Amino acid sequence: MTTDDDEFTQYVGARWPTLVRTAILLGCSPHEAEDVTQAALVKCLASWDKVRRAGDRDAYVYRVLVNTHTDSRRRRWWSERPSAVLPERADPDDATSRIEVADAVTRALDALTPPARAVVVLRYYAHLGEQQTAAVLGVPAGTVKSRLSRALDQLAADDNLADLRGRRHP
Amino acid sequence: MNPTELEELLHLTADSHDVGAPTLGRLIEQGSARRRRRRLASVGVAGLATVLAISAAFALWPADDHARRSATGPTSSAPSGDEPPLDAPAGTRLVGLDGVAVAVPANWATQDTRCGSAQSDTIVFDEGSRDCLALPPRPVSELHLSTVDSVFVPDWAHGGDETSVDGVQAYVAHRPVYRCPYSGPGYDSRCEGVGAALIVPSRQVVLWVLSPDQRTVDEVLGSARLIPGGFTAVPYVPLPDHTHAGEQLLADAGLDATVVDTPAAMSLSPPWVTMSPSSGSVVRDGTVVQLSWIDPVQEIVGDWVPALVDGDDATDEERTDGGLSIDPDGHWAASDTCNDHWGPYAARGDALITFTPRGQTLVGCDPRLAVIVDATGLHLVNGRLVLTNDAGRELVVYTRAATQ
Repeated sequence: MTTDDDEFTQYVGARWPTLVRTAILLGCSPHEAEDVTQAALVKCLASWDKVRRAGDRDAYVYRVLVNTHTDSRRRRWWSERPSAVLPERADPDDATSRIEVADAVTRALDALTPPARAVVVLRYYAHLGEQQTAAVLGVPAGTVKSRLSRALDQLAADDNLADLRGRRHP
Repeated sequence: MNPTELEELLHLTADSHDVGAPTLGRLIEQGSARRRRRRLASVGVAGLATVLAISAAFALWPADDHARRSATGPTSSAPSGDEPPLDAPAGTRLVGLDGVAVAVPANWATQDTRCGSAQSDTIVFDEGSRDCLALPPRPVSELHLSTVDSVFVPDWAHGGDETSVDGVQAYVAHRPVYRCPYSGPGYDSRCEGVGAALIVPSRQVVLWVLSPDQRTVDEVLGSARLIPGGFTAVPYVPLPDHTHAGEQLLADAGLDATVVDTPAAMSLSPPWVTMSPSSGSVVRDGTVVQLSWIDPVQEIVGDWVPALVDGDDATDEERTDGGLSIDPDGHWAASDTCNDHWGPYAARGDALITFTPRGQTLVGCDPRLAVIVDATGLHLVNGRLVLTNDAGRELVVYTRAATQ
């Protein structure tokens, strides 16, 4: 194993769950999220010297993740056929309230435009700063700010989240 | 929604999904294989000798002058004039990237994409689809030009069979038949086609063509040539862009940039800019490339007729009676063939104009063009106006009405 591989292993070990869950919040199914994250990390490993040289390693990796996610959506049009497989069911053992929260949040995120959704997820789940988010999405920081502001307005008015506001969550 | 609450909800939602451990061994194996492929592509390997059928498309170019020129850096001096001609076959034009060029039909657009999907036969400098996702493909042909290490190069383009371009090692990969399996707005169920990719490792360039027509794929990639000394391909300048960045890119390529009509203060950020000759054009070194500011209002004012309504071709009635008029003082009026609609618009930047339906007549009818009431954005895309809703879905595509 090379030094690159060691570093990579360490990085993936620390970030894997967050990267996969970020992909889920961006709109992937859980299985797709693991595939997208894996594909993104394979690309990163192939250019690990670039990742290492990047001023902000996380921003670089998130950028590859977002691009891979976007690309996977595009490829989907070109290569996949509709499936008769039903969406995954929630685990019946999960606490109902937790499922309700996840369902409501997912619906609210689904209603956002993809750019707004990406900004929200990167800022409030991946905890990237404004400049980092701008670097990941390739847009000016001002655009991140305005998208975020509009997205927060939309989420504030979202009926799916109405019952969740101000209540203690499980 | 306050940020702390949103943060908490996102974490609860994310944590509700169990995530297994990463398969590190597989990741490293795949990453190493990809790294090996790239290394092989850059130094060349003895592979299967597949001869790329090259049509005799161009006037003869001196082989590999570009390499010698690149070694000494781009020249900004005017051409001596004794370079051989760069004639493209009749009805085609040359486009290139970093020393490699192909001929494409002259009527192909450049970067005519929305959300990463080509909207007409077009040349694509693949920058990905940053702002929207998953528009369905159309049955059109696309030539992509990219550097080998771009994350947008499809996996199938790597690992092709060995061939050569003007005596320089290259690899050609074929993509199996693809189909566009989804139906919906903007999607044509007849969409299917083939693809092929050409990698020229010494230039770090990948060209790939997707088309419903095998012949188009063969002809475009088969016309591949190295760009000879004295010529260069105009680099891709993402538009809209600040002209300073564009100027630098052009200067780096040995071209002179001239910026025209720069306003004292732009209300749009980023400003809209056009470039002539366009990205990919093969020109003599030192050619002046003009970067021009666009006044978006001037670009959209006038009369427009629907070409696509909810993804389907407009009917004769819609083309005749469903026009859109945009005046220079911030107002628009349109007919859906039954009701009249009107409202304001405002240029907002990002090549987007906010479009606000404010009123309509209320005749009891429901024509297809009534989707106008859901429009919130208006994009100018390669001379066409595209009305979109909040989710970025295309509602109506207009073309400029013929002048009387």
